[in-house]
Amino acid sequence: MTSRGTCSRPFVFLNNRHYDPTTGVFISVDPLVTKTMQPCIYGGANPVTYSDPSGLCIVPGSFSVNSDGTVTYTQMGGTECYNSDEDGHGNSGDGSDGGYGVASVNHSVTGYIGTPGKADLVGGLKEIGIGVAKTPGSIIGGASHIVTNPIETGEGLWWAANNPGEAATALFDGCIETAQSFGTCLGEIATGAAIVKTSAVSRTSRFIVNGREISVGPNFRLAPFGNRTGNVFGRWPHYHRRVVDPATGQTVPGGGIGRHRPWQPKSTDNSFWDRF
Amino acid sequence: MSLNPQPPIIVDENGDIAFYESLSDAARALEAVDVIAGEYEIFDSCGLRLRAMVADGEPASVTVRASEAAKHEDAELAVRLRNFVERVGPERVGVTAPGTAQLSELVSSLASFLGSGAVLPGVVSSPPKPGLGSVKRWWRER
Repeated sequence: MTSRGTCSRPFVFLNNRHYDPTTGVFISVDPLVTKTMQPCIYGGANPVTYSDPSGLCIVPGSFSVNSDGTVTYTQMGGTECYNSDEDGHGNSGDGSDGGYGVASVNHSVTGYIGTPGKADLVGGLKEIGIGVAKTPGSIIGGASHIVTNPIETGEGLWWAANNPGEAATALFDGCIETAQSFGTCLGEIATGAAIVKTSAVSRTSRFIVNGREISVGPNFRLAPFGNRTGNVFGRWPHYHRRVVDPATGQTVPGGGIGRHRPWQPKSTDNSFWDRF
Repeated sequence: MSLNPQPPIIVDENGDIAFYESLSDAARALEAVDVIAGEYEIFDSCGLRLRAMVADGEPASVTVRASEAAKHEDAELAVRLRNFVERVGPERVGVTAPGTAQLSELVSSLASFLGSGAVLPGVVSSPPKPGLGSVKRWWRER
C-alpha cells in the first residue's frame, strides 16, 4: 500500500482527499484502497472523462484550474461508486455534491452499528427471544428476569419485532410447552381435588348424620345439624354456652354447658332471653 | 343400703343443678363430650353417687348407672343442693332455711321448682314443635 509520504504533493482538498491537478493524481491515499487497489489514482486514471469531487467516486466531468488558482468543476452526470454496505463505508451515490459527505457519514454510522459481531448479536437475541417465549410457564421467574434484565428484554423484543416469523414460531412452541405443563398441573389438581372432595364429602356426611358439634373453646359448642342422642331439644340445631359467675367461678343456675340453647327452658330463667 | 338408684336423678354441673325422672332420661340429656370432660357429678335422691359412661359407637351414647363401689354421699349432695338454693333464692325455691334443711326437704322443694320449669321436657312441659305458632303456643302455656 502506498503511504501518505509517497504521494505528498497536496494542492486541492476534495472533501475526502487532497488532489494535485498538476499531476492529475490524489496526494492522499484512497480510503477505499482495499476495494479500488489504487491508493492515489484520480478519476479512474482518466481525468479527461471523469472527475472525483468526493475523492471516493468517479463522476463524468472535469476539473479545471483557473488563473487565480481556484478550481472549477464541471459535472457531466452519473456516478460510479463502490457500494461498501458490507463493510459499512458506503455512500449515497445520489450525485448531489453537498450530500456526499453527509450520506457517507450516515452510512458509516449505520454500518458501524450493524457490523461488529452482528451475527452473534442476532443469534443471541434470537436465543433470548426463544427463551422468553418458551419460559412463560415460569411467570414469576420470567417477570423477575424482565425486571432485572430490561436491556435483554428490550433486545429480545427488538429481535421479535424484526423477526416476527421466528418469534411467532418460538412463541407457539413455548405456548405448546406451557399448555402441556398446565395440562399436567391441571390433571394433578383435579386428582387432588377429587381426593379432597371425596374426603370432604365423607367427613361432612358423617358430621351431619352423626350430629356432631363444633367446639369453640371450653365454654361454647355449636351443633348446626342437631344431635342424634335422643334429646328432644338436642335434635334441632342448637348451641351450648356455659355461663360462669366470675365472683365464685361456679356455673350460674341454668347456665350449664349441657343446656341446648335456645330451645331448652329452665326454671331458673329470669327472662326469655336467658335462653340465649 | 340399696344400690338401686332412687329417682329423681340429680345432676350437678359445676353448681348448676338439674333433675331427671330416670336414669335413661338423664342419659339422653347428657352429651358424651361433656361426660368425657368430667363436667357432671350425678347422684340419686338418696345421695348415691352414680357414674355416666360413654359407649363406643357413632354417635356415642351415654349410660348412667351406679357402680359396685358406689357410696352414699348424702351430706355431699345436701351441701351442693343448699348452695344451689341459696344462689337461686330460697324464697323462689320454697325453702325457708336452706342452711338447716335436710336432704329430703331440699330434694322435694327443688323437684317441685325445677320440675315446673321443664327440667324434663315432654313430661312436665311440652317441647316446642317446629313452627312459630307452636312455639308461641308453647310459650303461653308455660
